[in-house]
Amino acid sequence: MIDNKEILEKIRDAQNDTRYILDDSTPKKGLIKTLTIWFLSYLIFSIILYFISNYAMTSLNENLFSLVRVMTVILFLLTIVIYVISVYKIKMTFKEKDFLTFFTCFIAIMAFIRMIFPISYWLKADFLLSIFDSFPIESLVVILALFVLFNYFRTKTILLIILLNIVGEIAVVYFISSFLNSNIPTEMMIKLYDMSMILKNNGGFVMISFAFLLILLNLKKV
Amino acid sequence: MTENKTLSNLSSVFDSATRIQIMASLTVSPLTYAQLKKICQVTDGKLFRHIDKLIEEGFIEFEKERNDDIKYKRHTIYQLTETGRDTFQQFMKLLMESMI
Repeated sequence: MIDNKEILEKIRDAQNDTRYILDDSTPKKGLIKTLTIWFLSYLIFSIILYFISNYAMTSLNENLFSLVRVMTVILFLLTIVIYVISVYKIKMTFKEKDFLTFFTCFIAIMAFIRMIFPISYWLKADFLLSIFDSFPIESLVVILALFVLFNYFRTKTILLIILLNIVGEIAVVYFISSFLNSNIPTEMMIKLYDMSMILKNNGGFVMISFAFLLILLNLKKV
Repeated sequence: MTENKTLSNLSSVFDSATRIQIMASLTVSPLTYAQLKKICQVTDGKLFRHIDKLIEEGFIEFEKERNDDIKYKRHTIYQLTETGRDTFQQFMKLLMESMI
């Protein structure tokens, strides 16, 4: 016969174990939903801006350039707003909500990087542009964001995406610098330089990394 | 001994430490079979028997839910019924009173 004190201890232990087990699990339903909504908004806005800026380049219309600048700032501010609304509107556990609230800083930095170009034009802050031009800073932020996500999910698959980012970053820096340092660039060098610039200037690192991540999460591999 | 008798009279469910553990953990949150097994640390056979007894008494119920981790698989979620929750609260009250 178990005495009452022992029963009470067993009850408390069972309740504490339950809390621990629940906290130990990694809820992801709400997290995936929120990241997918943010990612889709980021992807759609990037595609829209890519086509408008290409059109502006060919038509060389100053009004269109101004429109692209204003739209860039508005649309990327909107990605942050969409993310924050999703965090508060989508049903999720406290653990997911806490994580996504903290993750807002990465979302804001990724949006800000896309806004550097128009902001530097208005503020005449050339130093901002020189940072943006000299280094794929976006990739660095994506790597940090992926490390934070790895810390949450604790799955090696995310490390693979981080590795891909590092390789991509090295390749982009190499292609750009070899093109700029070459007196007579070959056709291949020009193509690789163009590709690197498209990737760097249009949020390529963010889109590719998060596309991979969300596909893996939806396939239940993470 | 009088308190013990009163506690036992509440329901034969509380005669088993494992059933008390199951009920206590379900007061925190609905749980899957695997989570209950982890908490109670008993064999599958024993756990099934205790779960069956609790379902039979109307203290817990279950529902099948889609498993987010394994595609095309469903897992069973156990939770306390209103009767189960009320009886467990009464049990806790009696237990606390007996400790004074």
